[in-house]
Amino acid sequence: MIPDFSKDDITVVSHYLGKIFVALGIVQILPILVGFICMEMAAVIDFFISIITCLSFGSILLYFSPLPQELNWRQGMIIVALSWFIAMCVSALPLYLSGHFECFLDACFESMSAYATTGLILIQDLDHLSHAHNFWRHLMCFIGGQGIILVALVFFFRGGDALRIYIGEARDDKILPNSITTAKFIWMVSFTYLIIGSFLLAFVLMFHGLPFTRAIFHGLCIFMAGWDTAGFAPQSLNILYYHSFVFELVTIIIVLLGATSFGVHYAVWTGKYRELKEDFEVKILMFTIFMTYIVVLIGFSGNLVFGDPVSFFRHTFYQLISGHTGVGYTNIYSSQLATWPELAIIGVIIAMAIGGCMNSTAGGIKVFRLGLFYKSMKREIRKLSYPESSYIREYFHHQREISIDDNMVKTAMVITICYILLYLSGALMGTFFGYGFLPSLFESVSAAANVGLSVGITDTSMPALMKMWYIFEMWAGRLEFFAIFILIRFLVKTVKKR
Amino acid sequence: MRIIRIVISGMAVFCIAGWAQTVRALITNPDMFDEKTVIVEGELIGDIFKGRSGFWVNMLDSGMAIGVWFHDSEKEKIKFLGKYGVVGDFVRITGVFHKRCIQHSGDMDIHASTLEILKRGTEKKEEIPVEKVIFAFSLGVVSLAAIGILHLLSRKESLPHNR
Repeated sequence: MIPDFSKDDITVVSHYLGKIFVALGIVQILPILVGFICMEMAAVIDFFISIITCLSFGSILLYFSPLPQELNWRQGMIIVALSWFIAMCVSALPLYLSGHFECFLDACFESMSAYATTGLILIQDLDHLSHAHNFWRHLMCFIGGQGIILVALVFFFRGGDALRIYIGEARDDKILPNSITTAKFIWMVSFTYLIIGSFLLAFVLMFHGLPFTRAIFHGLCIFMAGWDTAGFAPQSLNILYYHSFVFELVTIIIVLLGATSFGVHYAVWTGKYRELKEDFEVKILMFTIFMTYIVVLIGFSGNLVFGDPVSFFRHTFYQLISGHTGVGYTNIYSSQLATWPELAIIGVIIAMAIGGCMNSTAGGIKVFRLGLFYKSMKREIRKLSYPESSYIREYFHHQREISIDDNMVKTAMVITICYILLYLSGALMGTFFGYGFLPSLFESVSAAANVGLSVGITDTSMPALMKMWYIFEMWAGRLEFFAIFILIRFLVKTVKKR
Repeated sequence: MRIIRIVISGMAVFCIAGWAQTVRALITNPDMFDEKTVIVEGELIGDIFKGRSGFWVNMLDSGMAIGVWFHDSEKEKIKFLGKYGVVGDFVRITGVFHKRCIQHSGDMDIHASTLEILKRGTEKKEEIPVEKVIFAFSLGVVSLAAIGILHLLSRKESLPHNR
């Protein structure tokens, strides 16, 4: 029998949420520093209000929920799901105070989009937003890409508790023997790439005549949102703002690195370069990129709508790679994307739905699961071809040789079905509100797979219910469902008890 | 009949090329304006990006921005580019709109032939609402007091009772 939720559960959850509140407050010191450097005092006040709110709530929760016993899996999952929801609300506060949002819901949409590394935006007049607020938008992407819990993990959690929370955030690859050292490794990789990537982008921008400070600010923002496959940009034109093919090429490299599993990064960092060639997930990622691009090409039926072949490739491949890795960067207008042939749009939808690698910053079903289905199918066919008494095993190489078992396939299948249902639910909701089915499906997949490409539906004028549903899609898609399901069960049980 | 047709097409060309278009109209109906001379008005924003024998500046109008390609000779005219705390130069641009510019790898852009400054941009003094300052200050004081009290209480509770 499944045990009921007890008062202890609430105490444990409240205690750790208190810690998350404190962590979110501390993190906001960074945009305050940016505000001071850029002499943006109005922004500093916005963040001051937000920090005080976080610290107050955090202190109250920590006081009334003293240090609990060790976490169990269920509590870990609830903490993860609630942390993301709370992070969305408190991080939306400085955004809303900036005056660039029509309502608090829009600000919440923006912060969930950043944390879930989606990239759909509802901000108004982005081009006149303060550096501090803009930096905060991108910092949220950086934090969310690694995982909100991962931030707190390094500082606030005990070893045993850490693992239960770590897995709740849709990460099940223990690169190193312990979750905290894994979290530290992920942060080390991210910070190293952050320095290299930001300077590389800044260098390209300086070549185009930008002064160093502007170039480094843009480089930093674009890297944070690119590496974490979020797709935010400091200007409303997104990547189109820079008018630079070289800049776009650098962003492609960054997003491909972001969509690659941290396990592969670890292998490369430790000198095992062969992993890049041998890892089954990397191979499938390359294969699906190739195949979905073929679909896009067939969709255009050889009609080079962007002029010459290079321009055609530049624009079509950029949208495809952006969709597949889940970054959502774009070098065309959403109204242009909306006029693409239906088959080309379907190609991008498939790419978005598949997503990047497991344990990367990308969203979607993940190529790993797709590969697993392929291997499982191959195993079943072989089983049928051999005598009944034969024992057939199928392996794949993912940092080591792994044998496929039924449990692995079953879990992958459940998550995949959940994703498909989520994609369809958003599409049906869009259709219900009067948008076409294909554009609705595109936008829904973009939200649930945490991509951020848009055909123009995501707008401040869209119905509030759709905004809320997209927030749910981003949240559920990022956490890969289980944490949310357990939270819903917890809430239902708590309400029923009363 | 021929005269009427000439008059109608003349009027259409006048409508498209003679009056200022919004950037939104260009972006949402690119086929209508493709390769035609257009007049657009808006605020220059962001940064100047150097290119070969020219430069890029993005122009914002009706909530949408578009890249405008200028000849180097126009650079001196631009003094303010819109960003936080700065209102960019409000300009009128006459130029050719490209749905897919061949020169710039298929980008949607405008190649400006003339640039007219309608209103010079300014640096805005940052306005901080007094109510916000008072609210932040009060919140800070109350919260710090509450956090302090909670901290003292928790310390007191953690002390051994037999002291």
